Amino acid sequence: MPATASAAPPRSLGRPRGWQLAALLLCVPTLVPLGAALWSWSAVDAALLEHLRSYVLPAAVANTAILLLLVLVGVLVVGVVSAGLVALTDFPGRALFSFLLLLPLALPGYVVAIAFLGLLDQGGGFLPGLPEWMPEVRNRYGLSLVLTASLYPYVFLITREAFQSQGLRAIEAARSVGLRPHQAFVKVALPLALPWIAAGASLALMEVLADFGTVAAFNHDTLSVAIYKAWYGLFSPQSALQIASLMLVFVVVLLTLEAQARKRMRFTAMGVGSVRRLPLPRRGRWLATAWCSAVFLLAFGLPVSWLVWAGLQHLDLIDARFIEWAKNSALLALMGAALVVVAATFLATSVHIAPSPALRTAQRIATLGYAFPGALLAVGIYVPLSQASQSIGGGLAASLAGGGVALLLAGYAVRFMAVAHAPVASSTMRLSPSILDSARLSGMPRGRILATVYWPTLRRSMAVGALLVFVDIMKEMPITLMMRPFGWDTLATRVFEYTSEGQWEQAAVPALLLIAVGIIPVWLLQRQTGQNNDTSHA
Amino acid sequence: MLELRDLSAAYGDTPVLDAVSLTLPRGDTAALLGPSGSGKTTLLRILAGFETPSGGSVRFDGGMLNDAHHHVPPEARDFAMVFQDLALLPHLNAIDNVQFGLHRLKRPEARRRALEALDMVGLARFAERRPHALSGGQLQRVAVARALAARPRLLLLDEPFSSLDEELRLQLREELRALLEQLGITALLVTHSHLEAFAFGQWVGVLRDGALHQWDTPYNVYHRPSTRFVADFVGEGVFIRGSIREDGSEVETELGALPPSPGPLPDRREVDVLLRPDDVLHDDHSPWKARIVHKSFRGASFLYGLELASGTQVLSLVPSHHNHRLGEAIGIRLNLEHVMCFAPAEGRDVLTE
Repeated sequence: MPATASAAPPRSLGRPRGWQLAALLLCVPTLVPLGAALWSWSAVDAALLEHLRSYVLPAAVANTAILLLLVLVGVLVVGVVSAGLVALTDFPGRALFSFLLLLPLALPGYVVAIAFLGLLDQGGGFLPGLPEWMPEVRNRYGLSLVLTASLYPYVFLITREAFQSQGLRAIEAARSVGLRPHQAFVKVALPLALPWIAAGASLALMEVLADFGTVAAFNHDTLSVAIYKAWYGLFSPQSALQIASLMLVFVVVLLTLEAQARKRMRFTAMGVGSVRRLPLPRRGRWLATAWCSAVFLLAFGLPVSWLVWAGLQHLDLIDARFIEWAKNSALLALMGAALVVVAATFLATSVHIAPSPALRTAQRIATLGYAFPGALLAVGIYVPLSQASQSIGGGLAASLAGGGVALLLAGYAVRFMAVAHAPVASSTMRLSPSILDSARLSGMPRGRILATVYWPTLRRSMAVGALLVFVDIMKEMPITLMMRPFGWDTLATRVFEYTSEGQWEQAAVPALLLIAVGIIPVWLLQRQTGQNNDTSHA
Repeated sequence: MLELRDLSAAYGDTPVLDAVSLTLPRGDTAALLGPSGSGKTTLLRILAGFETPSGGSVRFDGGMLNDAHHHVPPEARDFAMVFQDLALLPHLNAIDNVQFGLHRLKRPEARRRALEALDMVGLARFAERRPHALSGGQLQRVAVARALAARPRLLLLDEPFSSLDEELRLQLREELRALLEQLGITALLVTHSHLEAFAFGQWVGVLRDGALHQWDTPYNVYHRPSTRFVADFVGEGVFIRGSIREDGSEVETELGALPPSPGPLPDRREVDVLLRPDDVLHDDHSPWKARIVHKSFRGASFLYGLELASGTQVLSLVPSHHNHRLGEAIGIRLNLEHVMCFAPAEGRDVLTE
């Protein structure tokens, strides 16, 4: 008799090998752009490469790196200070600001850019005119300001959670051994929250790296723009891929930073029900209110007011063509959301049923796409797949339109897989393995287990995941711009067209519709995370 | 009747069960007792069919479930299991959770059986409640009802009471035992608490490092432990030094000579004799005096830690109206029905739970 037995068999549904294989394959779309970026170096056009090296890359890399640094400082200051005030102290309007300061999440960077640049160009119509001492801000500093305004919520949200769940209790503990409130904050609460802050900041930086619309509106050449220009200016997909492979270095650094931070996020929930917030002196209370008001006004109030004002001047833009763009946006978002949520659910349930190391790795790879900039994905998916289909199918023009949408959806799937996967996977955690064991012991067939166990447990988070992906695709710019079939304009691509011609007021109209859609996930988020926020208000 | 013969299992190269053999008569209840990592849960999962043994056989009512050539899958065994975390579905109410295990029956019949099972555990009027609206003890009963509703040939229970408080645990255990007796269901419980094992099982098995040290009645496991480990793991007690006479008729200890119980003796003269707290009686007229070095009040009785003149410590369970002070010397004598001798071990001598 052999001395070894079957070690840790997969949970309960036996070994559905075909199924597992299919789940493993879900990581392929993420690997394609990586392979393409490496492959791009297999044949080098010396003249083009020389051009890139002399005129494109130095500026693009420097611009990207400096921008990352400036925005990092911005989101850290705005995000951490606001989160600390809202979560740890008490001041007039605190509970309200806890929600209001999340609202800028609904504004893509390029929308804030429209308002910012529109205000500068035509401020006269909206404001009484710009003061003469106003410095020039159509540069990387203005750009960093705009990106900070739209991205600080990443740091704010996660840091608020960290402070709320353990910061307050830690401060009480510190004060009980004699530290003064501000010492307790600096010595205890801030170090405790550092991993959360770092995770939020690395997410914000991934968005900076991925950003296309905002930097394009500022005419600032970063790596994303360089990819676009190489493809549509030089007509060299290969050069675009080579730039993309350079971008991958940044991606890896940011992913590593995030992974390190998450590893240190040891969550020990401490009851916050009976904890008292830190008292602020009278002047400090009003300063806190002023700070939060300023952040909210600059990041949301002012831009949205201007957009509404500008949009109202151009209501005539809402015609049959506009409705067509909106329909295209919604259709793509709907198809993408359905595809992504089905794939994400399939992946999450496969791992839950049979948590093998191979499947876990596949899951990790398949959900890495959130770190890959859209421009990188667009060129990384389009080039190899269109070449493959050409060599196979002979490149029929008619099939390209359908193929175009399919490729576009593949790009969305890679970029937004994690968005749908996270809520679904966390719902599967609610199903203990013993539930599957007990189903199997009673001889329940696999299909029945999916219907009676998984579907009722997962459907809510599937809906949430689909909604989030829907909104993200509506707002998505570079993938749509570069991979859409000819003639398929969407709201986001129209925003790009208007802004590239400096028509800020016209761009406000589609932008407003995108904001309206973008508010939905913020509201969901507040409902999910902000609940204990108001009950502990002492 | 459940029969295990030389059952072995391993995860990779790590052995988990080592040649376990036991027989559980039909309709009887048994408890498997052991520290964590002793292999008791693996044994239970092999019986359920979730894991495959690396050697040996499992038979039930004459049918082969596991050996070198057979592996009957879980769903074909007609067994049921109550899981440690209960495995109730949060989105289903109590009766739907019970019905979950009865999907092979037609709906009306399944409904009737589910209600009947809920009634047996006294929860018929909570049938429409979802898990979040039920108390811990009620959830426990729903899980038991689900397992019983399928009328399994063998009921497996994986530490199902571990999350409950002591009083509720006792009550549920008694109810379940009565129910199983009434239904004539064969059942095997896994636990790390010897009190739970004794209260539940007509048979108790003690596992350590994958080996079954003893499979016996609760009384024998407590009073006639087959190994030093069993004596140590099950209940309180101490070992005192003794030496066996040449003819093997008595063991000399500092508390008198005792006749060793029948059975194999260690092959040396110096032995350790097991003294349970209830073997040491308080007797004012006894020639042996001991000083109280610690005491803990247990309601009906005191557990005294006593030190003999030689420094040896013993434990004594004394009715609580004998309230003595620390440091006081009291008379004790031994009253052993079973004198169990073991080869002496190095290290600690005072046993605790």
